[in-house]
Amino acid sequence: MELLSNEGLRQDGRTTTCLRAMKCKLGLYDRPNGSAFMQMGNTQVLASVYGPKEARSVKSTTGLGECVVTCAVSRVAACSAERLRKPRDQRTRATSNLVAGALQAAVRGSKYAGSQIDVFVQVIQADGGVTACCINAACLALLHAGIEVNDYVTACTASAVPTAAHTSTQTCALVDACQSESSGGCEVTVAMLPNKQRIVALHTCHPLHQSQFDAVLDMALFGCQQLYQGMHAEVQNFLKQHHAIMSHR
Amino acid sequence: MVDINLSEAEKRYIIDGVKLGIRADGRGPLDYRELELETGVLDTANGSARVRLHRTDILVTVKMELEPPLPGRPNHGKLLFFVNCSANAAPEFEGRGGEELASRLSSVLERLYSDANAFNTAGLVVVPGKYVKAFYVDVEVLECGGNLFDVVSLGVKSALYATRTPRITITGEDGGELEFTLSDNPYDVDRLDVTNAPILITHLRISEGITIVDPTIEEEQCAPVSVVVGVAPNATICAVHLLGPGTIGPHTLKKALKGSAVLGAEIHARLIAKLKQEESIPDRRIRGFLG
Repeated sequence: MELLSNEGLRQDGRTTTCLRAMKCKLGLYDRPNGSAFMQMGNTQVLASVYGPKEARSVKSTTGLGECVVTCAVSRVAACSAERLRKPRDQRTRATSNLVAGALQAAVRGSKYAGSQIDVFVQVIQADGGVTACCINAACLALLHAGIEVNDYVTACTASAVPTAAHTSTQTCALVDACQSESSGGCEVTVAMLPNKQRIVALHTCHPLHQSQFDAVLDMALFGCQQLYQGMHAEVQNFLKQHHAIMSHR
Repeated sequence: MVDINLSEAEKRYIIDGVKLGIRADGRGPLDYRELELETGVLDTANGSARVRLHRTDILVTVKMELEPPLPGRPNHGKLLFFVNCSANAAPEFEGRGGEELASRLSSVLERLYSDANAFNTAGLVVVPGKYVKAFYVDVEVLECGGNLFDVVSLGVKSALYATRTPRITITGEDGGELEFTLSDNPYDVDRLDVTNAPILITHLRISEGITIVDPTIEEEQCAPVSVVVGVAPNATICAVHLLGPGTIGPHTLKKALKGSAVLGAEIHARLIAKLKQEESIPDRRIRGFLG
């Protein structure tokens, strides 16, 4: 089955620059300091933030009173087609590190010197772009917790597929790839600070020709900006509902 | 379970209130709170349910796999329970922190459903002796705010009720191996029979002769011992577990058991009515976590 039709439409009817339906919600639970739910198409992720609190991790004791962001990603057993036997494995640990790194760049560390912020992410359903969705959900949970940040951190994926009309050397970049698109082509995850225009995380484990990389990266950055609009609208909406302004809680 | 700190005075307030017949939130000792229930929340599972009771949030998923049967039981399917306490619920659950609670929950569920009267695995066979249906019930504790056992049991029953597996037909034989096909018609499905599936009712012992059902997390801090009673829909008691370090008098226990049977039958009826009502809505919109 072609990933991109002759008319330039993808399997789910989107154009190459069209993101999946994005929905998010802030504040699901009482116990964590902040919690958020993020849905990008069929990918659903739940994030909660505990902290800032006294630093306990080994990493923080070696540093010079820096703020430490830790992250633990786990998956629901039925989140993808095959049942998973373990909620946490090597792959979720790799994702955790990536998410923690991206968040570390966004949190205003100097404000929380010597503190630790724990982020727990639960993947409810996985259909491509899981890492990106985890970063977005974690960012919203940080905001809900009232943690000071330099900027939002938003993440999006992009993929490259051969265009149907041409030979396989010609490729076309797709934004926000779902599982079937990323497994056939490639998946580049990019996280950025949308207002500062800085890239904070970039991840791919598929071969991609250098000549195609620019187009794919641009497409992912475009996706990040689109997601930022959506996430910011939801945050504004949340603040309005709670008669709050954006400041430290 | 999950630590919250109550002072002695706060505990005394709750305990004395219960002794006077009124709880901190205005309920009577045998009053149950309203709970939110939704089935079919996950597309990737054969059956799923999310149950929320105040500050307790449970996600139950059921996935079917074809497996060889257990030795000596060639004509019986399998029903397996796995519980995971997510770190979302409490930071103490991170890593292996939630394992103790998780294994206690899964062992209670396993014993509750092990009886053939509660859940009959006899019919869940594709090729006798070779392939049976194994139903993996995965319970995810997303928030832990009191009365966990009851909510989990209600979630499990709802998810099993909502489970639909594609019908499997044996189409032929190829070199001794049977070939089977899965129907891709979304209405041509097999369902599970949960008419006799039990639920759990937790009685928290406040003082001798006084127990309360559906305790909040604050009330759970006030008393160390609780009785978890498994009740079948026909008001028979099928399991009793005593949890926590503490003692309970025989007459208090008997009273709790008697109360559970009546209450259990009522909750069963309400649960099935709710599930049937939800099922009857055509093209029901799934609210999931956004609702």
